[in-house]
Amino acid sequence: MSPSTALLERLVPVDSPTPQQPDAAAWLKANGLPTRHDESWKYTPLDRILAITFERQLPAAGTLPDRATIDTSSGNHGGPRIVFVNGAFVAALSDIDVLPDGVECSAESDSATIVSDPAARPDGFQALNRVAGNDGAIVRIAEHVVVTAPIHIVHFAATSTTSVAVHPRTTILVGRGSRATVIESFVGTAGEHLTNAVTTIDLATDCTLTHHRIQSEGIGAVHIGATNVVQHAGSSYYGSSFSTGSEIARNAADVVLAGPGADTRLSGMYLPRGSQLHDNIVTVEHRASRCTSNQLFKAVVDDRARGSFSGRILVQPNTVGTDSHQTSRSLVLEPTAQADTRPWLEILADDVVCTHGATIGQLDEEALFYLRTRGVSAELARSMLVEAFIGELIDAVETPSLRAHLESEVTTHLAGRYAGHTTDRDAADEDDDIAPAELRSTP
Amino acid sequence: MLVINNLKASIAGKQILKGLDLTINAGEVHAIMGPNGAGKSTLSQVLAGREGYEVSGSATLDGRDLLTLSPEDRAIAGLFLAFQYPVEIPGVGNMYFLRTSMNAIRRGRGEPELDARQFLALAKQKMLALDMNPALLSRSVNDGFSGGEKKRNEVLQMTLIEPRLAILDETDSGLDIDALRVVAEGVEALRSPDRAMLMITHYPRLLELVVPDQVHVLSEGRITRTGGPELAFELEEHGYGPVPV
Repeated sequence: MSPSTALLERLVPVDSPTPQQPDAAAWLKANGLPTRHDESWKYTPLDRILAITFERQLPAAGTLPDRATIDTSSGNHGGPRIVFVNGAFVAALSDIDVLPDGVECSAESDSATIVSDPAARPDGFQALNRVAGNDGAIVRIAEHVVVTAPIHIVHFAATSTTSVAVHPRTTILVGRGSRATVIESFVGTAGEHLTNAVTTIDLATDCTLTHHRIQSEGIGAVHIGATNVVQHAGSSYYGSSFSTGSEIARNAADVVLAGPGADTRLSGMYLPRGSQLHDNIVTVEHRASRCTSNQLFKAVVDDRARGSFSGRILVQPNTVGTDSHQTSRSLVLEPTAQADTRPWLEILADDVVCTHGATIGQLDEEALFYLRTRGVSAELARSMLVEAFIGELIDAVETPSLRAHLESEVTTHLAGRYAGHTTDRDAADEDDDIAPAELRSTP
Repeated sequence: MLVINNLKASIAGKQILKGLDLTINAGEVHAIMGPNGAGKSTLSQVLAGREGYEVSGSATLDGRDLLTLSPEDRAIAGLFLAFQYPVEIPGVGNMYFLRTSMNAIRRGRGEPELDARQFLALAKQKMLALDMNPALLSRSVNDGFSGGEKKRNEVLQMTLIEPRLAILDETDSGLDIDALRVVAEGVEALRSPDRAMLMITHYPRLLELVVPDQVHVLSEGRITRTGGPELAFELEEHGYGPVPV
């Protein structure tokens, strides 16, 4: 038996086929999990993942965290909150009893409510998510409402005695002309485990969704995440991902611009260090005319870590007026660290403006020396330059509590290297003569 | 205060400084002039601790061996270098940088650090004196600054840090006459009995406004002539060649 088949034997429920998901079960049975021959899995070490004996997670197993732990690990952003622990909804940790007008939040095990997913390109792990997952979060925004408070979905991996596999599912449906912000946090205290998450987003005409995806799972985690977005005419999707956690993390985003005039802006920050491996796969498909898309991904790769970015832009025939841009910038701090960047353009139409740019570089020695001649220690100078490099992505987050959470998350993550230094930026931010955003102006 | 003995420096096998001797006492302002390629900038870089040079000889500040210290420890020991080409650092706010620098040095000297409010008040006062736009505090360090703004930002740092020894590497280059006057006033204001300054320059313009106690000619890696302030103007007339008889 191949490692792939063995893993499926363990993870797919014995009583399958799951009645709600016959297609996914059949697809999985016929095609199995991806292999390293699949181009989009090139930089994810499947052999290492398949070598781990993951066990199927039963609902309600594991130690429940308390509210303070959830706040510390993922921030408290003041709006509705839906909390899952090892894939199971926990009402006691959630805040969805009172919701803003036009907002529905629920956690359902009835996966029939999951919308059909025209964006999804067939994928074994996503099929496994559908077949083996438990509860899913569903966020539904009515038409013509502006939701100011961010809606927060937390997936917490709790400590367990075995290497469990959990399959978080999130569905976000935004109605015509509405505007909302959704934050998804993947966090936890678990050691070796698999989080295999799928987020499905459907944006109706002329709506706007800001979506932040924060992956800061424990260092032993294997995280496989997929975000599939379908945008209808005139809709806007602002998606940003922040990855600091997991031993192996694959973050995939697949956006289909299905209606004319839709706009997508994707950004990503990933900071692998130690022996971490962070792989980012982005697909933006221009299926309709006059759509705009922009991708900005930044990596800081340290120690023996590896950070990868593959950015695919697909412009379908019979579309006009496409405007699509992609930028990937990687900072490599050590000779043993590795960064890969792979633009992947398929332009099948004529009337297209499409640019892509990739840089892989090191810290600016001139800037380091300059800072040091001003009394700044070498280590602090390095961390100042690293934080300057990724600062624009954090500054772009409009939710202040999330911005603060990310800043402290990044500082803590980098602290292994930059131990013993505190920056006094936080104190400077308190100054009211100059707006905080201006303190670190970005080009 | 600053004592340099038989300082030699080479980079990539090429010797730039070939046994330089220089002593500057507290309260004195010295100027070094010399043709391009004489080693003027190498001298400032080596004193500030730039890596990549092979260095021998000695350089002490208040009796402390500078050459074994890291660049940041030299700054804490009292050395300040105003860069000929101040470095642009996109993404690092100028105010954050200035305060981090000032507090790092104050901490190193065992002085109390300034909080954000104290710092801002001080910085604004110093900027006013240098005729600097306070908006430069909220930009990235030197990023998109004009040549004059960069040089003023260097002098601003010097006035905030109050070093024991300030080296100004062609701080006058690229300045128009008004900017030069403002910068010179800033430098002159720092002149004090317990501080020494070394101005590296091509032109005597700055030396008309900040009159040095001594002028040295650096040529082919050595100090070849030393004189009073009048030497600067003599050099302008006759060049850096051999001493006229």
